[in-house]
Amino acid sequence: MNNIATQRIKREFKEVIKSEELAKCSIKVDLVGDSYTELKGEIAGPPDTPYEGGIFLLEIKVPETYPFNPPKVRFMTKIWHPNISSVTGAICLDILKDQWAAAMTLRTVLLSLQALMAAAEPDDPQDAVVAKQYKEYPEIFAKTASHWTNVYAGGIICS
Amino acid sequence: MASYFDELHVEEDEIPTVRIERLTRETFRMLFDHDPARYGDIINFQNTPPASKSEIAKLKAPSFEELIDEQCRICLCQYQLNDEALNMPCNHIFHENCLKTWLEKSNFCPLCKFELKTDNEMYELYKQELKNRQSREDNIAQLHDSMFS
Ligand SMILES: [Zn+2]
Ligand SMILES: [Zn+2]
Repeated sequence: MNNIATQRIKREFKEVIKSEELAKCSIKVDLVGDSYTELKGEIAGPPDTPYEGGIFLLEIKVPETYPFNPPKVRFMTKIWHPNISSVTGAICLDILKDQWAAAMTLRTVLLSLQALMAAAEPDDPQDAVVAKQYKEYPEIFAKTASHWTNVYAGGIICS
Repeated sequence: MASYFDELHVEEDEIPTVRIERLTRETFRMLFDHDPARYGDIINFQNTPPASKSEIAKLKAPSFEELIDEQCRICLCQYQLNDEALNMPCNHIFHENCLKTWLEKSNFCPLCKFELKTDNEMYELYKQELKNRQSREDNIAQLHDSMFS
């Protein structure tokens, strides 16, 4: 990996580690191996949502062209959400595609994902089935989402 | 009223700025269907085109004082003595190399999205049309407010 990408990630690591969100157990980033090309993210489900109480793991792959291109991010924890594939964990979020800007960081990405969990955008869905349910049967949606949170994202206590 | 919305596929609760952008895109998409050779680039607006070379050449270097204790928000490094930097028209400063690499793929400021002109005629046309439609919408909204408030 070229120098600027590695350097950036190292600096960002410190930024996340010092951030108040980490202190509040709200977001976290860990290395996978020692290459800085692959990272593991963690997001706490936002309060007052069906994801509350869950800890969601993310796979983060940093391209060589980072930060000129966005990191590739995917949910490893299964989640029931209109903008996230319930099968693959693929995410539909503009800043991970055309709205990426080089001044954004892993911290911005994780916080944006947390915001997406709190406010879905069903008109730009990744998972059509979930989006349809979200729009047409919001109560069943909320029940399903919180059931998935309990089954797949529960039980991990933030240290 | 319902028929007007149906005809343009307008959902009444769609946010106005989102609706304007979508309709402008659809117009350009129709132009593309009409004449693909001429309007071909329009479809690829998922990513904005790179900034125009001549616009990049116009960017000025900031004074050394402006760099003291500041950090380039692309590489996240503090500016060192003799570092080459450039000032965007929005007054955001970055390393020259960092900014130029970014502007080879995008036309906007990485911090505030201020847009530089591009060499892509169709994109410029699209932006102009978007602006026109937005100001039209604003005028109508103002008129509506003045009549009904
Ligand atoms: Zn820099
Ligand atoms: Zn700017």
